[in-house]
Amino acid sequence: MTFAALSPAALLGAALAASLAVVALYLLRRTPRTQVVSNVEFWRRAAERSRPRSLFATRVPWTSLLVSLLIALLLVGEMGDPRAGAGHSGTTVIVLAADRTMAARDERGRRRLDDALSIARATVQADTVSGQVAIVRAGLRPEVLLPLTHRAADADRALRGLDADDGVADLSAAIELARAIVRGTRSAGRVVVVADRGELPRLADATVPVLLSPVGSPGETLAVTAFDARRDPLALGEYHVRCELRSYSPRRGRAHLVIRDRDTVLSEERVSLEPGEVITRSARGFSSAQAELSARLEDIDIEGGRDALSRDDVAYATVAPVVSTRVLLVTGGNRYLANALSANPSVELETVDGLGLQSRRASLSRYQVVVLDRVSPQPPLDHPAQLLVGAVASRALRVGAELAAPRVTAFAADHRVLAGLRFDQVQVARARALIPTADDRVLVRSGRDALAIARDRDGARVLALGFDTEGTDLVQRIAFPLFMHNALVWLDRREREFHSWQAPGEPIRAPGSSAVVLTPSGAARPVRGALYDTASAGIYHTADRAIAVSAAEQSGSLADVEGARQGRRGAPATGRAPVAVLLAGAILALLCVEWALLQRGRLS
Amino acid sequence: MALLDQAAQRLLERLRLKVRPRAASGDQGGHRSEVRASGLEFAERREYVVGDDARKIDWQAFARNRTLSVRTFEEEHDARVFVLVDVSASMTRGAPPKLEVARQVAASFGFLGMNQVDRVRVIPFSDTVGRATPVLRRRDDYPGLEAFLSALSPQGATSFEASTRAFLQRFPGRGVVVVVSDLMEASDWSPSLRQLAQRGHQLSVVRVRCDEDHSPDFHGELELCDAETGDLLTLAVTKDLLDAYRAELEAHVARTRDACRRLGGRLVEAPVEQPFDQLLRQVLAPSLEHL
Repeated sequence: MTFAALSPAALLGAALAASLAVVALYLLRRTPRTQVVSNVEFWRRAAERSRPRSLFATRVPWTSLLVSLLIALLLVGEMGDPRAGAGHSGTTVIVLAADRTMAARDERGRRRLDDALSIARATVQADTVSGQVAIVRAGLRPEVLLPLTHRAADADRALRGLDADDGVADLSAAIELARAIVRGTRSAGRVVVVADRGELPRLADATVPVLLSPVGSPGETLAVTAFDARRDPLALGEYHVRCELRSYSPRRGRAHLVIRDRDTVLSEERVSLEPGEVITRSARGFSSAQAELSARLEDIDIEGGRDALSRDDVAYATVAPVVSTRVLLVTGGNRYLANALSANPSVELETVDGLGLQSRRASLSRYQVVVLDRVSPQPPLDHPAQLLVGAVASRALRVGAELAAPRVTAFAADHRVLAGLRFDQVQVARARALIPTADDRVLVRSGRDALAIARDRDGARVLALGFDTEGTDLVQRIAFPLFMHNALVWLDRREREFHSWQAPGEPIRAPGSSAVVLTPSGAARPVRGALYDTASAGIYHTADRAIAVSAAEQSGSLADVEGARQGRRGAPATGRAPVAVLLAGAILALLCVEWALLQRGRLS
Repeated sequence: MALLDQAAQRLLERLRLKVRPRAASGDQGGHRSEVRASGLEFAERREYVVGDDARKIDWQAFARNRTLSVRTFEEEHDARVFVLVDVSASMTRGAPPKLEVARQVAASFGFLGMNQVDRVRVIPFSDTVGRATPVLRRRDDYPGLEAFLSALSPQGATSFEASTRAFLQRFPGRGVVVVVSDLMEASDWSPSLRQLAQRGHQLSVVRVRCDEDHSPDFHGELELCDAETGDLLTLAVTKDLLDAYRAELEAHVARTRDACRRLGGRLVEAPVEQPFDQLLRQVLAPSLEHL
């Protein structure tokens, strides 16, 4: 046993001082004070009668002194912060996984995170004897929970009330952060990862040893692995939902799938999942101005087992209210564009020719998007959202040579404008090559020539097509209205409204100096820098909208620790109580003994 | 401040001290005596024997029964009331001090005696008896009694045996003896009480007690100082010792109570912490004819 807080000499000195104090107090206690009584004879006779006869009773004052001395010495020992073992002598950085699966519970109802905290505390207790310890929390974003310290009490405070995030931890980043801390000390050190993982991420180098201390036992769960909602393009105001469920269990499982809009139950269904089965449930015909949806698995019954993780039993989504987009179409006459735009129920279309545009220049701010069909107004329009069809060279846009029957060789399928579209079969009869600037995104390319570019610069967005509706079969394809819809959404910066949920860790935008966000628990939190970090799932509210934060797609198996538990390695994981706790228990017991002796009237 | 307030005096005026006939004195008074003589109170009718006063023959009975009988009457005598007040130094203990309550108790008995025209004498005692009051017979004498009691100062150690011996020498007549004391003398009081009873006194003992004596609550290493003698005793006062002390004191009081009872008397407790009107009723109840 070693003492972390006091050196042996200091400990000896403190013990000596405490002993002297106890003896002095004992002698003071034995010094009589005067008490006047009516007659001492009765007292004398009583003293004769009550004189202790047993050996123990006659030695009680000495027993009292010994008990007091023992208590004092134990207290000194407690002050010395006793530890069992010597621990690691250098720097130890503990990486504590605090992601979604760490909330999984074992048969006794104990979370993996609780086990991890116990291991972390034991490691801190042992390694602060002759070294220093820091703790990195591996949640959605790695963060330093406790800077390097020699004091175990600091770690206790830092670990108090720690909870798991609703998402997958970036364990690699957390380990790198821990290794950077060790390197910064310029001394020997190690990283201890406490996580419910079977393997550690692969490391670039081995300059700092990394040890894994696995926690948790394999578990099984039924999970909501996807939940989405979107408005029905064929029925204005209505929306449909889609929910995917998966069994991470080797046994058959049953549950109630309940989908709610706030507190209103939209649908309730009994589902049954075979081992490993994935099922999808869809429902349509719901109507709401702004829906706040949850899909929850209730009354889960796994045959002969139990659902170990409750956090993956629920997923959230929202449906944004229908917002109309005012579009000004400037054209000499283009039925494809006019029809595609007017078919969109969320578009308020106004069509003018070049002359009409001149009369509306002063009121262009009324329109969210301006579509210029083979028009190059002079001077150029000052509008933040422009769709240039059959782009004409201008001061803002450089146009290159004319291309004859260019073949589409590449397109940016990941861009919002092309979401859900394929351009590789689109025929273009003639086009003008666009010359992109450095920050333009080329959406459609023919060899080295750009046929379509997207520009987002200085708060303005421009989508330019090097071909017009006459020179392509795109307008005859059924996806053309969708392309136009995508273009309007991107130009009007409404992409986010078409996401029914976002993952934990993604920030919520709430501009304004005094903006607040209402968390799922109902607490109002101030927003700093227009962004609010989300770590837990649920429906958040800003002043003007509701945002669903859902971790459904991050659900996964809880059996990953199986391999690791076959052979635990690395970290100290003691189930014994710390020495300080044992000493405190001994002190308490001795105090009880002394109290009992006093109550029996045998101590002076 | 008066020892007895108006309410207490009004209460005492309605009460009458019970004096057994053999404790009454030889002078004419208000108490029944054992002497069959020419009193006013009819005692009995008995058969005439030679030598009886012929004037006491009940002729009406002779006319009815044709037998000679004489009527006898009880002679009514007054009583001597001796109130022995403990003024030893231990009477200063308690809150209020035991002596203060003892003065009030003594004044009450004195008031009762004077109210029924008995001969009251209040005698302080500690290691012997002190200067007593003159014989007090009338209500007009009560202020003098109050002044006497108020002037008493505590001093000396208790010696009931020596005090009894001195009392019996100085006051030969029999009567009612009321001992007002804390009984805080460890020697046996029974022989002295027996001597008083043998002299024909009617005994009544009032034990004035305080919590400090009766159930002390101090603990630890103490140097106990005797309030009367100044003797010192160093003790570790523990719960066991406190229990033993209480048992010792209880045994002493019980011995004295038994002795009183055997001698036809009564011992009553007078806790100083009790309100005086309750204490007065409690103390006087066994000594009264009517309450």
